[in-house]
Order: sequence, then C-alpha cells, then structure tokens
Amino acid sequence: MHGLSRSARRSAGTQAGWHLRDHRPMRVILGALLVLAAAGPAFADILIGGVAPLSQPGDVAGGQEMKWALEQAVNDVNAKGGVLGQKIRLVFYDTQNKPDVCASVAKRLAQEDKVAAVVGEFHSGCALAQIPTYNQAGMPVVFSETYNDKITAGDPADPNLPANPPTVFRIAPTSTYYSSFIADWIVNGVRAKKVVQVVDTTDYGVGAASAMKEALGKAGVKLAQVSVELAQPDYASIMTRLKNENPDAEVVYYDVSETATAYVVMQNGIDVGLSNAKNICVGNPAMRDAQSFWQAVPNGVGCLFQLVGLTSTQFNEQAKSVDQRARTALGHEARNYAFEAYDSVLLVVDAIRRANSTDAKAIVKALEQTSMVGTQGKYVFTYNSQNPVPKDKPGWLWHQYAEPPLQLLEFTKKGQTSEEAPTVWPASRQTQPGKAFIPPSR
Amino acid sequence: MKLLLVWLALAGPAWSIAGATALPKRYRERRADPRLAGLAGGLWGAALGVVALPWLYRRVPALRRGPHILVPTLLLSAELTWLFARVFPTNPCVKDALYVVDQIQTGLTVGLVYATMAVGLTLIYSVQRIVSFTHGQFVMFGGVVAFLLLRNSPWSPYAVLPIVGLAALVLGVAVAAVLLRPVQAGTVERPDEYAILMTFGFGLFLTYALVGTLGAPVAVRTPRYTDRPLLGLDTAVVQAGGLRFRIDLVIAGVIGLLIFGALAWLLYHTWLGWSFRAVSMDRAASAVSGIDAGRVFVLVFGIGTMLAGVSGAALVPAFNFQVPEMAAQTAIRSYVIVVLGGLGSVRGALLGGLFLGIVEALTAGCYPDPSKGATYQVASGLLVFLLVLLVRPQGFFGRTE
Repeated sequence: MHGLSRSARRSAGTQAGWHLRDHRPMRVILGALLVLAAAGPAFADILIGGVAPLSQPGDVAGGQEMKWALEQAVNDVNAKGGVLGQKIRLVFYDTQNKPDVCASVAKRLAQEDKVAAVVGEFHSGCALAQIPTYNQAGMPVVFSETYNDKITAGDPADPNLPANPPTVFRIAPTSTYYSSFIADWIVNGVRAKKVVQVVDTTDYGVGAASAMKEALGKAGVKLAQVSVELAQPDYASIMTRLKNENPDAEVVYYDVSETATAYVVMQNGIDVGLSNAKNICVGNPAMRDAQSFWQAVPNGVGCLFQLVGLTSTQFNEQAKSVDQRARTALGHEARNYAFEAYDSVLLVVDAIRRANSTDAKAIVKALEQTSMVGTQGKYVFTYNSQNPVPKDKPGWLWHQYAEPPLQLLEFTKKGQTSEEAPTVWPASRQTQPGKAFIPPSR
Repeated sequence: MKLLLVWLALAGPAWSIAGATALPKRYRERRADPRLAGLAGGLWGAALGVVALPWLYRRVPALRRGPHILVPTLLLSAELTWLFARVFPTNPCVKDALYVVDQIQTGLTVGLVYATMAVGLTLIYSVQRIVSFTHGQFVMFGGVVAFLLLRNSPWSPYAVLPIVGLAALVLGVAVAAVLLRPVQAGTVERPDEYAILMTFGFGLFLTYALVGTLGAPVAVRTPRYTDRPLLGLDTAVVQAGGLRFRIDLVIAGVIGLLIFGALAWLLYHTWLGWSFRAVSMDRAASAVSGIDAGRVFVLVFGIGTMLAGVSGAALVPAFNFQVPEMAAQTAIRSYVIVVLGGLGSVRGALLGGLFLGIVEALTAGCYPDPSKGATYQVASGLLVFLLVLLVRPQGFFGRTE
C-alpha cells in the first residue's frame, strides 16, 4: 500500500474487511456442516474413557493388550445393541506411566471429553495421580490392573487421597492381598517354619519384604530376607551366602519384580544349591510365559508361581471367547490384565443399564450394587457407601472386588506349559485336593 | 576387649592419616626419594601406628615395595580380619573357611569374565591415550549380535564368536577411521575432550540403535554353553571338594583367558603387536622407524572393539545380559578395572578384573548384614576404586607420567 494516502489506506482496509465478512457466514455454515458430518454419530454415543500406558516408562506390552481388550469389550457391547439404546464409544489415552501425563489425561477425560466413566490403567502410581481429578469431578472409575492399597484405601498423609474415595472402584488384587496370599500358602498350605525371601531394591521389593515380614511374623515363621539390585550380571555370591546361612529353609521365594533378573537370581540359586530337592522354590508371576522360563531356568522343575487370573481350564465361555480372539490377534493367550480391562467395560455398561442413566452419581450407586459375572468370576463390591468397611478390616476393601482370582501353580515336569501346571493353592482350586505342593518328576 | 577394638578402629585411621601426610614431608626435607613415602606412611600408620611411624620418621630409610608396602599391607589385612572376626563371630566368613574359598572361586571366575570385558578398553588407552566412552555399548553390541545370530538357529554359542568378532572389528575400524579421524590427524585443538564427546555420543546412538533393533529394552538370552555341549560339558554345576563350579561361567572365563592369551601373543610375538607397543611407548620414534601411526590408531581401536564384542558374545550364555542396562554395568566395571590395574596395562586389566570379582563376592558373602550384602556389592567395587585412586593413582601396573 505504499504510495497511498492515509485515507485511501483506511478505505482499502475497510473494503478488505467487508470483503471477508461477505463470505464469513458461508464459511461458518460450511465448517459447522463438516464438523457435524464428521462427529455426527458421536452425539448418539455414550463415551467411556480408557486409560493405559502405550509408551515408556509405562509397560507398553501390558498397555497395548489392555487397549485391545477394552476395544473388544466395546465391540461386544455394541454388537448386542449397546446400552440404553445407544452405542458406546471408547475415548482412549496413553498415560505413559508419567504422573503429570496421568493427571492431565484424567482432567481431559473429566472436563473436555465428559465421559460417563473411566476404565483401565496398568500402573498404580499413574492411578494415584488420576484419583484427585476423579474425586473432584465425581467421575466413576474402575481401575483394572493397579495393586497399590492406597487406590481404594486412601493415604492419610496425602490430602488428595482421602479414605473411601466415593467414585473409585478396583477389580485387581491389592498389594496386601497379593503378598498375604503367598504367606497364607506358607502358613496354612505347606506349613513351613523357615523361609528365605529374595526381593529387589525397588518400591515393590521394599513393600513386598515388609508385608511378608509382618504376615509370617504373626505366624511365628522364621524369615531370612535379602535385597538385590536389578540387572546385575550375577548373583551367585549372595545366593551362596543364603544357602550357607539357611540350610534348613523349606521355601525359597524369589520375589523379584523384574523378570530377567528374577530368572537369573533363580538360576543362580539353583546352581549354588540354595534351591534343592529338599525345599520349594517360588518365582515370579512372569513364569506363566513358560517357554521363556524354561529357556532361562532349565532346571526349574518344582518351582511355583503366582497367577493372577484363571487357567484356561477354569475359563467360562466369555473368557474362552476373549482368549481365543487374543490368540488370533496378539499371538498369545489373553493375560489377566486383558480380562480385567474387558470386564471393567462390562461393569460400567452393566451399571449404566441398571441405573438407566449416564449420570455419574447414578452410575456410582449402580456400581456399588454390582452382581455381575464377567470373564474373571462374579463381581461384587462388598464394602461401599451402604456397607462401610468395618474398623477392624483394612481400608483397601472399600469398593474392592473382594476375591480377585489368584492362585499358585507348580511346574511339576520339565517343559510344562502354564496351562498344564497344576494349581496347588488356594485349597478351593487345588488340582489334587489336599496337596499344597506336588513332588515334581525331576 | 571392646576398648581394644574401639581403640584399633579409631587409632588405625588416625595414624594412617598422620603417616601419609607427615612422612612425604619428612622425606622431602631430608632430600630422600618421597614417591612411596605417602603410601608407606599410611600403611605402616594404619598397621602399627605409634610403633612404626617414629622409626620411619627418624631413620628415613630408602623405601622399597617389599618391606615397606607389601609387609604393612599384609599386616593390616591380618589385623582387619582379626578385628572383623572379633566383632562378627557368627559371620559365615569367620565360621567357615570352605565358604570363603567358595566365595573366592566365584569371585575369581566372575572376575575373569569382568577382566575380559575391560581388556579392549585398556588396549585402546595404552596405544591411543583416549578413554573410549563407547566401551559398554561395544560389549552390548557383541551380545546383541550373538543373540540375533543364535535366536532361531541351531548354532552353538562358540560358533558365533568369530562372526561377532569380525562384525565388531569392522564397526571399530569404521568408528576410528571416520569419527575419530580428527584425533588421529591432530586437526582438533582438544583431542582428548573431542574423543570423549565423540565416543560418548556414538555410544548413545548405538544404545538406541540396539534397543530399536530389538524392538524394546529386553533381556538378551541365548542357549547356555552347557545346552550345546562341547567336550562333554553338559552339566551346569560340578561339585568338587565342597565347592560348586558353574560350568557356563567357567567356560566364559576360559574363553576370556584365551582372549588374553591371544592378545598377549599378538602384542609380544607379531610385528603388528610390536608396532602397537612402539606407538604406545613413543609415537614420534615409531614414526621414524617407519610405523604408520594412523593405521595403528585405526587398527587398535578396531581390535579393542573386537575384544569388547567377543567378550559380550561370550557373556550372554552365562550372565544376566539386559539391553540397555548391560552397557552401563559393563562400563562402570571396566573403568574400575582399568584404573585398578593401571590405565593401559593388559596384565593390570586381568589382575584388576580378578581383584574386583573377589571384592564383590566377599562383600556379598561377608557383609555383616546379610540382607544388605548384595546391595553393597557394586558400591564396594567403587569404594575400592576410590581408595586405589587415592593411594596409587596409576593403579597396580600403571606407569607414572
């Protein structure tokens, strides 16, 4: 506009403005039509928030399988006509197991997406970072695979985590439930008097050591504990020491959270004679992947492992269907966190159906009255606003699935798969009734 | 007795500090050779305190390694052992001699493998005078290549060693010829810092490249040596005289010894080795003799990388080998070993590795609180590393400039 007078420039600007305004109504209408066309079906859908890690430092494999299972559940519900005459739609976010990301995902789901409820999550720390937002927004949430007691018990030291969070439910076992399960087997199953426990130096290891000490201390069982650093090349020296100091150990529990290290520690323990024909070795839950276990610990016959979930012989039709689809889509059997993620969607849908509403308070009320059979058994949240947790019981029982399936399996033969391994605990599921340990064929 | 123990525990370090500071000063005043005075003063002070130090201070004798270093070291070790036995009478290292022997044999076997990991680093330093910050990654590279070769093949873990060695040699030569060329050509102002930054950067690249190749951080696992037996060695553990020998680890150690033997033969019995040593001793003089220092530079880095790669491949069947953690584990221990043994000393690397293996084994095996023994295992190696740096910066066999 060089060379034009000030008035001429003003005039030109005004004309340009009007020129734009001439087309604005048309553009707005077109834009709105496009948005409506793209998002049209969303107006009819009930939104359910899904959360799981798809990036590190989260457990990527676990998160991917959970996401797959959430999608399967949504598809299954929609195939049967949805709920309240509407389809459901999953709004999924990668929580990455980073507390800041977890918190911002929760805010987005509650404030922007305005989902009816949230399901999923793999990591306890991430769940704890989400809870304050859900508490504030009154958002119903069913955590699928998070073990930390504080998720349902709250944390007296943290004002953001009050006891009895009104909208938070959980269907995974809690840390205390998980660790006391082994203690129960030691005390009431094999009635051992001396136990060795190897833990790692992570938060998990510290918690596991403390829980075991408390549980076995009450029963008068002697316990020797060592903690090891993860990812070290070799652990033979400390295993030799444990063998020397505890020749009378009846159970050696390799309670190391990271699978590769757990296997090396076990193999070193077997090599130096800490684990031998006179005692029982218990390993990492990852042993359910039997092929990897036998490759890493070829002489691990007679070792036991905890299985969260059910074995294929215990599956109901619904679980069989999910498992079969997992084998086709993922190339392996469905893991417990896939079943839990699947069931968490069904629980929310069941609650919406019974509440006949997508109102948060109505969903929470319906969830508290749940009595539904899913892939992992019959879900009941025993302790809730109508039936508070008694003072003599642990606070984590609040909105907690009372009996998540948990069992001890034993590799009784070399090369056995986890599906072939018999259950030795709890007594109610024992493959050979009355046998908490089956002498292996070495 | 308790008073005596407390007195020993407190007086030893006090006299040691007094000896280590006062004696060198005294030797300089008397114009005597002060090089061993600090160490001798520290050791005699810790071992005998007031009994020994005044005599050394007054007489200022010519210091020799045997009577003035070795003797107080043995004496001090005996005193500390006695002190430990009195304070912790139920410790298995006090009660059971065979247990101590078993721990030492474990330490020696593991230490031999450690030494194998570190020897490539010391070879590179001895000739090129650069500290490679890619060493851990080169060991990891060897392990990953072995894993990829063995993953779906019927090959024996022994068979892949030459292939891994060749791949690592090519990689090392490429890195030296391309990335470190300015160091060799003298075209950078600060060659040491350049080499550190360049090897560090390449190490990071290699870490991410290997993790990317595997798809995620994983534990690399191949069949054990005893799964594919050679010479009938198919038993994982052999028990002899109350000791348990883990055959996979023993085989990895033997491979390590063979690597050391081959390196010694190369260095002392071939023209190539002589040229390496010549450049290591005096670069200018070697050039006058017709040795192409540039080629030696590239070849030494290649061979150092090859040693690292082969050691990585040899470790996978016997050790916990996690990608990428193994790189850091290897690097930390390798630096400790080469400093203990003396930067640039091949026999020092061997001795340093064995020493570190024994220190770690005895820490895990003898630390008073059994629940914490394993957690202090790595820290004990680093503590020894600091102590050696303090009293003998050149290590066991290192040369002083």
